[in-house]
Amino acid sequence: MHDPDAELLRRIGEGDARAAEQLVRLRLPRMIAVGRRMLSNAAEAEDVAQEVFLRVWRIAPQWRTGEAKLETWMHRVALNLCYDRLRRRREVNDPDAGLASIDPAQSAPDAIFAQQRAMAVRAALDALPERQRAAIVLCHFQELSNIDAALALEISVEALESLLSRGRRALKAALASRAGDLMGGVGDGAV
Amino acid sequence: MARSDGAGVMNRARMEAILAAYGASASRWPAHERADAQAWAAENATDFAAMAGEAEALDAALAGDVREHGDDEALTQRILATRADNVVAGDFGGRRVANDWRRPAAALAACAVLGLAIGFTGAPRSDDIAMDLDAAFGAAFDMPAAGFGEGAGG
Repeated sequence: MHDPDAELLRRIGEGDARAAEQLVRLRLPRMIAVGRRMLSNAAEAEDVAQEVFLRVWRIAPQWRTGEAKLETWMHRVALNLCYDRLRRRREVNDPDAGLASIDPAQSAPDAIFAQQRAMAVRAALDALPERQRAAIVLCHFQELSNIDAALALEISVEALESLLSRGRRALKAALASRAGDLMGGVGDGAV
Repeated sequence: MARSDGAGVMNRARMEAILAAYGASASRWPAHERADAQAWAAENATDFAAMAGEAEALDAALAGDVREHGDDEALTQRILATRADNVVAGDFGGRRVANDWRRPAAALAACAVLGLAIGFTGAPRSDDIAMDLDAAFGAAFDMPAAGFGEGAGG
């Protein structure tokens, strides 16, 4: 298994500040993306991303090359941090937590349509059970391989496929009912 | 080797399963099945087009979920600033263990309190002392979890 980040991590473990900066610039946008899609909250996504890198700094001197790719491990840590936050939200029962908002700066019809479309997708994603959402975030948006996504979720590839299928089916149903004209016929039984 | 769900044998059922799970873009299909699936799609173009329609529509809808984020530079700098004082050997990404003088100090204080208590109340049995010391050190030193299989942390 080739890990493109292994050399950077080795250097980070030896105290190389430039390697740390390289890794942050390379992986930070993807960590933020996971947090945003899992939590639908920009500030919380940044907190999660920061915590992931804190753990990278700590693990770097002890990393066992060959057990897993660093990025897969980072995705797992990010997801677990997101699960923690989602659990806390449920405990405090905050009905507004994670609600996305429309950017008032965009007002042109095309922009409004695009935003409506994005909002419908976000609402449908937010409504998915956490594990289904995580599977779709990892495989569809983060474009992890099925093997890496299964590792990050600590499940088998077969279980991952089940989560993905159920998640996509639920998304299709939600998008068809929420915004049928935005979906271009999804849910019309084309298959 | 064929799996119980049909993976490993490319046929209509497996193609449908791949489309249902991974969508219509071959780049997201399982790497070890991609070539076979693409060959099946080419050989059965009409069937495939009909099968892939819903998956393509959902992929297109998901592509509309573009989440712009602002300048990451400030966050990048904040993250890099955390590196210098957060490298602690032996922590595999588990609970936070900072380079913090307060924890050893707390351990020493706990031992001092225990010593005073022993002085005032008389010497307890040796197994009681061991349990108290374990509790004192356990509270003072959070030992990290280990390995890739860490828990949720946070």
